[in-house]
Parts: sequence; structure tokens; C-alpha cells
Amino acid sequence: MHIQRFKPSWQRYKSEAALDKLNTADVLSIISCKEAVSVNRFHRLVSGLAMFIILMICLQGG
Amino acid sequence: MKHRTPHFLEVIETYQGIITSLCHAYYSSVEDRKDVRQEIILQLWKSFDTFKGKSKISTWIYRVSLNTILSRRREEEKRPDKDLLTLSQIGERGYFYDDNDQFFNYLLSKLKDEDKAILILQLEGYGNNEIASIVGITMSNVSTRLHRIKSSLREKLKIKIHAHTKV
Repeated sequence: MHIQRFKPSWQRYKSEAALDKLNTADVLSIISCKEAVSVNRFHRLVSGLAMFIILMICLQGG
Repeated sequence: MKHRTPHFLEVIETYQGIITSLCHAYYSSVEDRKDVRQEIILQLWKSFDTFKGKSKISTWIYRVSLNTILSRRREEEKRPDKDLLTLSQIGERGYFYDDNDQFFNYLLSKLKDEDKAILILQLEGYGNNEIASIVGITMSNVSTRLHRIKSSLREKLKIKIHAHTKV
């Protein structure tokens, strides 16, 4: 049994799947979402840290 | 991001056929295909900087895409509503096919996830050592699984031919 006998079928399968095209705008929107999430996480982390430092200073001062 | 974005877009444009064909091979619903494709692109984007060019870009895309799909499928398998046919069940339910393409499509949809990855990579011309490295299993495991796939296919093909001669 040669698996390679299915090679033409796989090639045709790929050609059919390729009709489901992804355009540049779709890719950009996917990766920019990811960047936005990363930036938001970073901002949240920084502001959380700042709040913590301020709170510590206030507590120590009091 | 500015420098790598155009390069990344170019890579995706050139190799998107790999991503879409894998999404089609593992998912039948349009929504699932969209979701998994998005997940693959995110994973590719995250690891784009770490790709050193030691392997071919297509190999890297196969590796990331298949790892993303297989992890997702493992999560899905834990769900109680899972209803997947295994290769051993093909034929027993009385299916038969008009041509090789239909038979192949059906087999593809019913193979176990890792076996399907191995079959696809074999059809793409990858050697056993490359398949082992992409799927993350040992080379002997690849050989064993390939042998099992071939035996099962041979069996199912016999059933198919037998069904045709009976009609």
C-alpha cells in the first residue's frame, strides 16, 4: 500500500482549501489585536506597580 | 513591529495554502476553521522573531500550525460531547466512495489527529526524521504509526473495492 497514491488527491484537497483565502487586512487585524492586548497588559502592569509603590510610601509615611 | 510586519505579511501571503489546508483537514465548520486559522497566525506572529532560518519556512509553518491544531484538538477531546469516528470504524458503517478523492477526503476526516498530521507530512514529501521533529514524537513512533496507517488503509480499501463489486 503506497500512501503516495493519495498525493494527487491531497494536492487537489489543498487547491480547494486555498480558495478560502486570507487577505492582508485580515492578517493585520489579527496581529494588531495581539499587539493591543500586549500593550494593555503592559499598561495595566505598570499602573498596578505605580499604585503599589504609592500605597507603600503612604503607609510608611503614616 | 514596523520592520517585521511587511515581512510577516509576505510570508503569510506566500504560505497561507499550508495553513488553510490544515484548517480544512482538521475542522469541517467554517467558524472553527476561522478560529483556528486566527490562532495559528497569532502563534506564527509570536514566534516569528525566534525563527532563525535553520529549517525551511514551510517546515516552520507546518510545525507551528500542527502544534497549534493538535493542542487545540487535545483540549476539545476532553469535552464530553465529543463524537469522532476512528479509522477502524470506517467501512463498518457501510460507507463507500466513487473515487480516490472522496475516499481520501473521508479517510482524512476520520484519522486520529496525530496520524493525520503524519499522513499529510508524508504526502508533502517529508522524511520520517523531519516528521518526528515537526510532530514532536520519536522517529520509531513515526515508523510504527505509518505502518499502522498503511495497514488500516489497505484494509479499508479492500472493503471499498468489495462494496463496489457487490453493487
